[in-house]
Amino acid sequence: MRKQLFVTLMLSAAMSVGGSFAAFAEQAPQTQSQGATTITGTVLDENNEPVIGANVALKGAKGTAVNTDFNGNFTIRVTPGAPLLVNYVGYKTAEVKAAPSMTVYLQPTTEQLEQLVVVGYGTQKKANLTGAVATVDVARVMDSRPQTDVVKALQGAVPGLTITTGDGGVDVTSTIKIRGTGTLSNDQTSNPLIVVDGVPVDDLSFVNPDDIADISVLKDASSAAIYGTRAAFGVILITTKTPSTQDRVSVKYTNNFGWSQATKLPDFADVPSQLRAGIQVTDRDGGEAGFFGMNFAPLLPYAEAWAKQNTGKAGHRVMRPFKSWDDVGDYYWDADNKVNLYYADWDVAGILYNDAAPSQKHNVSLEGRSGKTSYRTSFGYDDRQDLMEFNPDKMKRYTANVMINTEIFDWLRAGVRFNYAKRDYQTHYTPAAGRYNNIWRWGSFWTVLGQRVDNEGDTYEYRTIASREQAGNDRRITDDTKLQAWLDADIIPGLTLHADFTYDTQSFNRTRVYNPIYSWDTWTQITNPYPLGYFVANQSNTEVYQYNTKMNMWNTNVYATYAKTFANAHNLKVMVGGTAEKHDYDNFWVGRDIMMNNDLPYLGLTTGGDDGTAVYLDNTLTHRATAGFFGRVNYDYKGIYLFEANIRRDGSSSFPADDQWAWFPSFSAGYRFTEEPYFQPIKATNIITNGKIRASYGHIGNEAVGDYRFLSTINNLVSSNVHWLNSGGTKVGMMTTPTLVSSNLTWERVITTDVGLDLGFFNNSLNLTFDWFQRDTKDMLAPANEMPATLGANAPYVNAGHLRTRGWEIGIGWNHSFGDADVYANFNIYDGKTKVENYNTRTNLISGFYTGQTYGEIWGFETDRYFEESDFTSYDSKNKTWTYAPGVADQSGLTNDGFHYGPGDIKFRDLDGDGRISGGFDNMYMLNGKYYIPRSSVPAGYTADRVGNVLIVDNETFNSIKNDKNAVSISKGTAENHGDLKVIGNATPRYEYSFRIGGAWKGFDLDMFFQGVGKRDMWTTGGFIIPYANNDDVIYANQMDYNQQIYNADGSVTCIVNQNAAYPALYGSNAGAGTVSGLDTGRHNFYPQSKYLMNMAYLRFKTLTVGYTLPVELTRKALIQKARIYFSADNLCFLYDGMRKYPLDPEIGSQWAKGINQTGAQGEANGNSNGYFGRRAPISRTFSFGLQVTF
Amino acid sequence: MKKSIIFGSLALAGIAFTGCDDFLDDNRNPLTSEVNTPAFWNNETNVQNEANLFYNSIIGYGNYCSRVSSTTTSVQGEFYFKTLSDDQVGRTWGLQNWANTNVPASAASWSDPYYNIRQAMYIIEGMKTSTLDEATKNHYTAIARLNRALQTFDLVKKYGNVFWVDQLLTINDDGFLYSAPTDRDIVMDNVLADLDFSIANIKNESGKFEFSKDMARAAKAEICLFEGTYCKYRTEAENGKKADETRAKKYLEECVKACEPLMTRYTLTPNYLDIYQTTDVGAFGKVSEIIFGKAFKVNIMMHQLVAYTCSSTEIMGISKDAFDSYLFKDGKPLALTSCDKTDLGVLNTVDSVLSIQNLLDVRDERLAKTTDPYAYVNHLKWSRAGAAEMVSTTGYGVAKYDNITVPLYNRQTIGQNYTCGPIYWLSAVYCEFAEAKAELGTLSDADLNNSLNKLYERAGLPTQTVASLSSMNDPANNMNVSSLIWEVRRCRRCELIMDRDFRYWDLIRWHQLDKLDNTRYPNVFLGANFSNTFLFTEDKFINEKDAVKLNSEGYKDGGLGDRVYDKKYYFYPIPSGQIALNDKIKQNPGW
Repeated sequence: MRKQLFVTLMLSAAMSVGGSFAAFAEQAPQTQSQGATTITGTVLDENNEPVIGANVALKGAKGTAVNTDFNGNFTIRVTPGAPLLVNYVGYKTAEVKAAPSMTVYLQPTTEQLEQLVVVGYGTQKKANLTGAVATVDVARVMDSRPQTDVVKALQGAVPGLTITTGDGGVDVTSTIKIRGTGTLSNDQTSNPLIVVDGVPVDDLSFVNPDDIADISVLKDASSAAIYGTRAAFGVILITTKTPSTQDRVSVKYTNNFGWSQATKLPDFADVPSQLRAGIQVTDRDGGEAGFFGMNFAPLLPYAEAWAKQNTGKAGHRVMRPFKSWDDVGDYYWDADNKVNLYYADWDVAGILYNDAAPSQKHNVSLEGRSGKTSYRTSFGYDDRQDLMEFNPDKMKRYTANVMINTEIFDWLRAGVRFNYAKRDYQTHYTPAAGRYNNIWRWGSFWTVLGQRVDNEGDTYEYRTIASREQAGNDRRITDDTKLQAWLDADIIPGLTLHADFTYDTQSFNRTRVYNPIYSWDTWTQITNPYPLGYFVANQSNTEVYQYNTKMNMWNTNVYATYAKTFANAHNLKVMVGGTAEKHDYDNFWVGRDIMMNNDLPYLGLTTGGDDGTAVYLDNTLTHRATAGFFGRVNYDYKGIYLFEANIRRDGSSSFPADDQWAWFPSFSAGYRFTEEPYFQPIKATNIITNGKIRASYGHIGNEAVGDYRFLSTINNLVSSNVHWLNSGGTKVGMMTTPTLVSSNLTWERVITTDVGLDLGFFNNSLNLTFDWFQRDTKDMLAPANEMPATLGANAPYVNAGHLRTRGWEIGIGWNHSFGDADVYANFNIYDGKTKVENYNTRTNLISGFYTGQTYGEIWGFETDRYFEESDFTSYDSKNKTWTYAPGVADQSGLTNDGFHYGPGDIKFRDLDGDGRISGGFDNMYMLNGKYYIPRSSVPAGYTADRVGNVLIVDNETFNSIKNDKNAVSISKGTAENHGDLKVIGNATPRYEYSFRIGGAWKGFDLDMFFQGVGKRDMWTTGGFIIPYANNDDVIYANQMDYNQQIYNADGSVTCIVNQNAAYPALYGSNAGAGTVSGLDTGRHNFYPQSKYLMNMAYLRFKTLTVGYTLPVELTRKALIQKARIYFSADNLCFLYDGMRKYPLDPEIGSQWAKGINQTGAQGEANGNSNGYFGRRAPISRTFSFGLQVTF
Repeated sequence: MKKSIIFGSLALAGIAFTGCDDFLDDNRNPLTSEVNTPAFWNNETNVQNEANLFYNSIIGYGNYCSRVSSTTTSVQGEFYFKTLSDDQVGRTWGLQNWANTNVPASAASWSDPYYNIRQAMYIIEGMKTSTLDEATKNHYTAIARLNRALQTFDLVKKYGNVFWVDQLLTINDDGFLYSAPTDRDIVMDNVLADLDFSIANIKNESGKFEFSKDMARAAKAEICLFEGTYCKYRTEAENGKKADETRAKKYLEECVKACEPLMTRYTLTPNYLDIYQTTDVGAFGKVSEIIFGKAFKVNIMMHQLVAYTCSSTEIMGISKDAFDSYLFKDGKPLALTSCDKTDLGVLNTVDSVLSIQNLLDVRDERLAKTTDPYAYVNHLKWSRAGAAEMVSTTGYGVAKYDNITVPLYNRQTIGQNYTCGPIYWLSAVYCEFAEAKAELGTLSDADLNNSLNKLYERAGLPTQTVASLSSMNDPANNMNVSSLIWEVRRCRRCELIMDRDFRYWDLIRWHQLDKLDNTRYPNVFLGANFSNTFLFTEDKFINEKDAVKLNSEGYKDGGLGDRVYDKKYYFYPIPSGQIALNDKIKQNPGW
């Protein structure tokens, strides 16, 4: 009822506003044509080249406008001497008097203030912007690059926009954040809203960068609020290219051919070194000194002989058997011990990775105008493959767009837009599902990349390669079709009405085939003299899966805009409108076991297990809807005082019925002091030529908090998760436990304040923009404080707290011409810091969120040095334990899993000085602001009366304190009781910056783009970072500088300790959880600590482009308007690499944040556990050539 | 005209928007999920499917869905893999040592049962308002309470005092969530009440793959035997509570009561290995001894137990301590037998294998079915029926679970094993019955004939009487119990070796945890006698690392450190993170 009333009010308001506007419109401009004559002229640019398509219009007269033709000529009927305005994008508007035969010269503009910037539901002159809106230089960011992903191309384009891509796979999507993390809800996703041609889209990978005309990034509440609930974390507004206004057909063709390679790849040390390390680690941790029966010790002499008899590493080839100690070949069948020994040193990176993976893209567009109808159509094609040598993943994309605009009446314009895109991704499906993980999980002698020949002369690949070559296809095709119709009506002068409707349908088809795989391998057949003809996966494992998803979305927007200038000084613009949107998602999949014919992977030709029951299926259907009403007023006085107000009322199906509607207001104001009369003398000096102070404030609700957070839902358990058979041998039905939800959820409210300054110097050839902002997320929806396990459920989401981000951005741009040479440079930088202002927790556990926490902080120990033998008094050889010398902080509380600290191991710093390394005191109480522990909590030798600010009292006093009713127990692993732990770093990227330098000279152009992150840390237990992360599996070339504990036959141990060594003495299984409560994973020598914290800061030469535009005199003969060839390099090199010690790109796996595991490509090993971190598709460097021709 | 078109459209659009509330409401509820409303619990299929979820917590041989599409992670079984006992020697120190040596920050063994208990509470609460008939509601309530009992018992045996949950907790139930745990004795009385309720109210009497009265009886017998003996032998110094004879008697009697109906209705299967190696669900259902089991089926649901007992990964062999505990064919223990008591096998130098067939020929037949006829270590490897060449931590193998008639691929590939595994079965019930009666002092010859004598017979051993067992007087008896109880415990150990982690918890409830200390009982880490092999006499190997570790008498030494007993090991340490959240929870003694 209340809503009906609101709508009625809105409508009547709209009507009455419309009526009163009509009353204002007393003067309609008249076209004057007395004394008119036909004037002809030519428009030339600074190089005396004709300007094609320039707009020539009579000043102040609407409707009298023409465009220049192919030769830059125009014809217009006006009175000679009448003022003509000549306009062309990128050039200063020229005002000239009409003359019978005239030549107009246009000068390129460096002035961006007059440009129109796309904002929510409209455009705004850049000079008049009051919110924090940044525009992307589309030509430089998107063109001339092999990049086909719009999102990835945007990295570094705008200050405050963070694009992270943690995986180099060809189907991997990036995460986008504007001004950092804004909420801890919904897995901390704070995605901006992406709007393409007025319609929200979730996936930009269907958009061809070649079709994009403009990109605006709306960063503060005042500019984004108009988009309502999904815009809480900013908006990226994309406008695609519109039809030409020229009365001719123009065809443009561009292409690009590229070759990619990994920026960094891991490597193994030589095999004898790997084996010696393996023997040391297993000697110490008691693990099996070998893999699957192949023991390191007997292997070593063969590996040493191989290393002497071969140079470098072995390439992919047929393996040679052992002949004699002078010709050890690649493997030896040890008949005495019935075991195969494989000792060749395979070049894992060289064999399995392609260092020139090809890619290409082609785009053709055709546009023109015929009468009152203009059109543009474009087609794009690109294909890429990943960096694998054998059976690489392939991605193809096809896009087609048609746009037709027409004028139905002189007051009514309409258009349709049709966008089609197809994405065809093909990967393969193998038992070695974690592909990159399996490649790097064991040593280079164990992943035997050679072929073996059987008695009949048939050659077999090893399982790693066979699994790729013989794998079934996993093909995923997505078709996206978007239809849009729009209408613009000029109702009265100044008042226009816009309506649009968009229908988007997306279908996803995936067929996944699991083929049998026949190879030889070391895993199961190490004891077989002829390890051939083994099914890694046999026929009974085969299966066919078919997935089908359909997504439908419709969206409609209706809004009216009225613009009017009063008394030549008061500029008013009013807009009101409404929007509605609905999404449906419908997915099902079916799978069945055992193919009858492996060449026909078709569900109908599967036999489905012994009794035909091995059929698997499930489906998911979701839907959601939003609606909103909005209004905006812009007012300025002579372009000096600027003011804007927005209001929006939003409804979302993501909230309970009582909470579905909310109001969100925002305001902004600006002051262009350079336009004030008093400033004119300063302006005249041409030093400061533009200046504006801006401020904005606004509220936005956040809807993206996850589905059905307020409903206790129950699902059917898919059969693969059912582990029970009934007496018929069929899986029983199971349903999940109802989810635990909080009954009283309300909207998350995001409040942003932004203060900005825009300055232009030297006739605006140097521009500076500065913004400071504060974003508060109140009533933040986040997991409830950590609950005792007794609850028996994951803590539900509640409105748990308040998050605050403060930051600043600077953008500087410079353009200058030196004769024939134009040069430009720009720089931008952003920094922000997010703090948990308030979090509803009982205890400030450092493992979770707590009040006062800086988002992304990493807790750990401070690494002191390596232990020396002098730090210990004795050694117990049976248990491999060492007794600490007096005065050496005892680390035994950190040991588990049979590990004990000894010489060469990591010594942590005893920060609290209590003579023991710990993560806090077991028994601590706070009374009247003072902290107490009992004497029994500190080691016997500790005699002081306090540890830091914690008082030590005798046990009796402690008990009386504890029993005081005001006493509060302070848990270990909290911000108040953390022992020797401290914040050692922060995973949030800080000081993200980029700069671009370039220029053009006589047809040559050069553009260099650099992008970097100033500060960022990460803790992982990835195998590339710490040796033997998982079991006693693997050590890499970058880890061979380690301390040693050599176990002698008599039980004694020889320790070699070098304080400069990169790594401590070896031990296995370091990636697991240790004994310190609240810390991330990592144990033994690798508890989270300062020494092995990754420094993810970098500065990379992101893009180099060199182009040459052929002289027009040459190309014009071939009817070519413009022809340019270019060379481009993406991710060329590092200028600074914080990760230089490690074989990992600093951008890899960068989606990690506290409490979140990074997600990787489908089928890849995810997470931070078991040393997996970084074993994924590498980030690539691409060299490419391309051509751009316009006919 | 122009204005009327425009305002007409605007008005239409406005009217369209007035439907917004309905529009949002229509799109609110999930389409493919149920919502937890009282009505949900009125549908029996729903309730059945919710109750079925409990089956996922029954581990047995473990879950390992080999189908690559599965998102399930492997769960190792509770047969063979639980090596913290005097029966087996683990292959790494982690698998040999105490389960915990320091207090962990978090532990699944503390938190997981509460998730299952919450599931039980949803059903119990759902049934209170359900419109189903009383018998049906009681049936599902009974299944929920049975599982609450199983989960709570699991917590009690590890942690002592725990929370007794009898409400559907919300995040606002601070009074409960931040309270002190309940005394273990009270919790166990509640567990017993749950078990009795489930026996009375579950509809079906039996059913080998579903919750039934018989399954509940078997669970009750096992739990009551634990509680009875635990209360009898516990000490204040080590378990925090004094022994309680009255309580012990009550629970032992409840155990006997639960066993009796099972012993009349089920019969032993002639072949001991049918319990462990049956591959077909139908056939497994017909193994007369099985009361309740977890079925597996090729390509549908498979496990990894077998693959680990016939692979090149070091076998976690049975210990000398366990090997020596088997009776000889004359029904006498090692110290007293008149049979050949040598533990030295026969070395075949041609094939480099050490046969121990001579040892097995004179012992309890179950031993020959449990281990292999060869002892195997590095340089003396052996392959069972075409599988990989094996080595063992003790030299003794583990043959009990490997059905060699299964295709090799499905034996030695992880996640491709499909032998069905028992959860509750008659021979275990016989052992529980005999032990409870022996502890009560009421074991009669008739009771023996009804229970252990059937096991002795199947094992090729002479039958016994109360008198003969009481006068056996094995000098190896180091548990300070009567000869009768010692022999009953021996029979249980040999019958159930490596099964369901029984042995560790037996030592806990008998108050004999110190028997795991290898510095006092070295045999727990020792294995076969290799003193007559070249391993001991010749130095033909390339280096030290590859040598086999034998002790001075030539026994394979599988120990990788010293497992020193401490009284704190009677309890698991409560995860520090949980105490941090609720300081009313007190850490267990010694941690």
